[in-house]
Amino acid sequence: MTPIIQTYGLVKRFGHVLAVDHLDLAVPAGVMFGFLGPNGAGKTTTLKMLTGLMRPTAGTALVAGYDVVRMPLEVKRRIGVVPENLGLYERLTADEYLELVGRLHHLDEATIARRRQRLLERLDLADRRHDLAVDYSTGMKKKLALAAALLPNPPVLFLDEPFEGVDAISARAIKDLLLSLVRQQKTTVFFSTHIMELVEKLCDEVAIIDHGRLIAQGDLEALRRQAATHDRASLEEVFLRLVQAEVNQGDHLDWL
Amino acid sequence: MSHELRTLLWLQGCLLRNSLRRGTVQDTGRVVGVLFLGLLLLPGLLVIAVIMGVGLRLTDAVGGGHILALAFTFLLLIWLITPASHQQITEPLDLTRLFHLPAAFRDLVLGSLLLNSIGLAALSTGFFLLAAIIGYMRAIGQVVPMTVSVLLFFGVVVVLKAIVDDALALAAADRRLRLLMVVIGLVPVLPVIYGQLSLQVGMLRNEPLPEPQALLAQLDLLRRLRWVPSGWLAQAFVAVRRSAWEVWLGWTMALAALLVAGLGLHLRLMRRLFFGELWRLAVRRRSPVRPSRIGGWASALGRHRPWLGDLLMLLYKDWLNFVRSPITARLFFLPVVLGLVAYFGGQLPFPSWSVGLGLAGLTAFFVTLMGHNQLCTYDHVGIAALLLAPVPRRLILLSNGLLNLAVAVVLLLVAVLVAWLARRDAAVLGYAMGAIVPLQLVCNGLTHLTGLLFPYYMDLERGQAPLNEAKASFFTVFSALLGMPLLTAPIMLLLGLGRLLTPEAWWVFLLLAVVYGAAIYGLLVEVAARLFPAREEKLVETMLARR
Repeated sequence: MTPIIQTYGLVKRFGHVLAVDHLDLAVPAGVMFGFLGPNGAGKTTTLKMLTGLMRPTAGTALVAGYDVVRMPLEVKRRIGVVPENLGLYERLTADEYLELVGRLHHLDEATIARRRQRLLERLDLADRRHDLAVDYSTGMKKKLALAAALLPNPPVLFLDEPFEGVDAISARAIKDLLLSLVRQQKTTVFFSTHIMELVEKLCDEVAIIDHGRLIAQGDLEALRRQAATHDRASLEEVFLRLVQAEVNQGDHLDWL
Repeated sequence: MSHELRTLLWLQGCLLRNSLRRGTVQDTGRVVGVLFLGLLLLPGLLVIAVIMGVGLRLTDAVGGGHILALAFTFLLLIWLITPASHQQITEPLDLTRLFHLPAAFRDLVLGSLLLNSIGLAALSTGFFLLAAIIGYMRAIGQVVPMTVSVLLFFGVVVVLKAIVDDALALAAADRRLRLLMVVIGLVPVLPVIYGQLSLQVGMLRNEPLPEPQALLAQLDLLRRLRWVPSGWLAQAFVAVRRSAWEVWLGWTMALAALLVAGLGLHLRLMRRLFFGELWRLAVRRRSPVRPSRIGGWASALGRHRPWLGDLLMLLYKDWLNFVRSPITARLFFLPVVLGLVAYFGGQLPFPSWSVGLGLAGLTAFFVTLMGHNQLCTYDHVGIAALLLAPVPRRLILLSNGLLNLAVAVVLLLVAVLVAWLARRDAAVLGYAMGAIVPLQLVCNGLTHLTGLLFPYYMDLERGQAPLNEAKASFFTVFSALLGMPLLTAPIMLLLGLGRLLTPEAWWVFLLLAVVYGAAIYGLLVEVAARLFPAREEKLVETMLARR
């Protein structure tokens, strides 16, 4: 099966800093894909390149069959994005923001109204739909950004830390929604996070990058094999082994 | 018009309409600001434009040309400094927030220009340009060439503003670069301050004011401003009046060329922005962190007087924040502005002591205005961390107050040295440096209190409060402006009367003023410290909720 997201030797350099180093990634369609890495590993930079928000220094990236550099508009028509900084207009209401997104995706008014209603109800924002986004909590803003990403019903979703700052109830609603999208509509969800338990529970496939390089990819079984850990090792153990992290045990904190 | 452009227009309409809406956190200050702009400022500008138009009808071609050069340069400055000043009433459109959505690059570029050309700034510019044409033309046939030049000039200012917007967005990833650009962007304001001060000084020296026409001829703005696009437009207008069509064509072509070049640059910058190729200064080589001796000194002091050790550590922390704070870069303007004031003040026919007193008052005013809007100016955000720790609250305020006082003293010293050079009289120095201590002390106490009563989070990087905290911002400004004259009046009276009544014993009055300042400061710190327990929850919430 042709991967829906594919990169060939993707490189991003900031001056003398190599943020992404010849990344070769292939993400099959219709999976929940976790993208992991320590802080500064190059996750957000990769996500930005895949969504057409940053031009790679070298290499190629294809999303839904389109080159992100040559045909960024075609790519953006087929993806939904929850960016790192959310990018909301704070003086728009949820209704207005979703209308803006729908209009830019060339959806007709009836479709926008119907989908908006359903999304706001599902994400528990219907009561606050006429409030300005500036008055929303962090979790509510994240849910609004997610609703905007889902509105055009894209085949690929890119989510940067979608559960950060979201309360348990909302997190559960988002998880259920994303899982139903993947299982029923065969949407591909590509998300970066630091929460290992979440990735272990939700993702069909995981990629781990460190210092801009892909160091492992596959399902949990495959990752365990690559990390040479035991059969019941958790994703956290696998991750720590693969990135060769030395966990400071804190044995010098003698006053505690 | 494309679907995307219509959508962007609709978006601008929503943002404009919502600027009049109160959020659930009531932002009365913002609404008042918009109403003020709509009901007072715009009609006010209309009246000024009409007066200019009438003035143009009464002057000859060259005199009118000087007026036009001045008015067009004012418009150009407004367009150039608005993005750098962050003083925008509606939420800025910031098209970078649409980059992840399927809007074509071409539409975004066109949209950025179109939307810039239909805001409030464009409306007020329209008044002036229309008044310029109507007031300056003498034959109906002159309208067409003037309108052509005006449209090109309007295009130029719109594109220049878009370029400034692009540049600030491109520098967003680098704090130092952004600050540098904001500082550079505000430099054009300095000649305006210079011109305004020189006029005021002339009036205060009772010099006979020249006739407006003679003054304009003396300033020779048409010649002096021929290096900037506003001067080109004025030259084009004069050429139309003189029927010098080759000259008109030359200046109009210059405007057209600048417009094309500006469009090209805007396109290039937008493309960079679109693909996330942000600007950064070269990364500084990290210098090794030198161990500080302050900790040792604080421990030694703390053995005898624990509070002194704590205060020293807090001062050290505030000093580090001061050195690294974005506020410090903005301080660049204060010594320059104060130096200009001191230079002109030094030429006034007033006694030296009153010039010194005035400079001290002005410095305290500026420093207080800078700090009124955030509690613990230089470590504004750190206040939340401090409140979560068992740090004596009085010492937090005292440390900030002492640093603020030191900043005011250093700033004033720069200004006073300039005034001293102008007058060669040490009295300026003595009076100014003496007066700043009590003045700044009472002002510091005031800002501690207003910061506690109406706290809000300030984005120090952008120098901007979040949109929904304008109410608290409004009250801190209001209370600081109200409290300052009330609390500083006794100091000014003591020092002024002391100098007038007993010139030899003026230092006794200075001493009294310092005692008054210290007493008021102590009182305000005490009140603020007692208020702290009741306000801590609100303060921590305010500082952390928006992070």
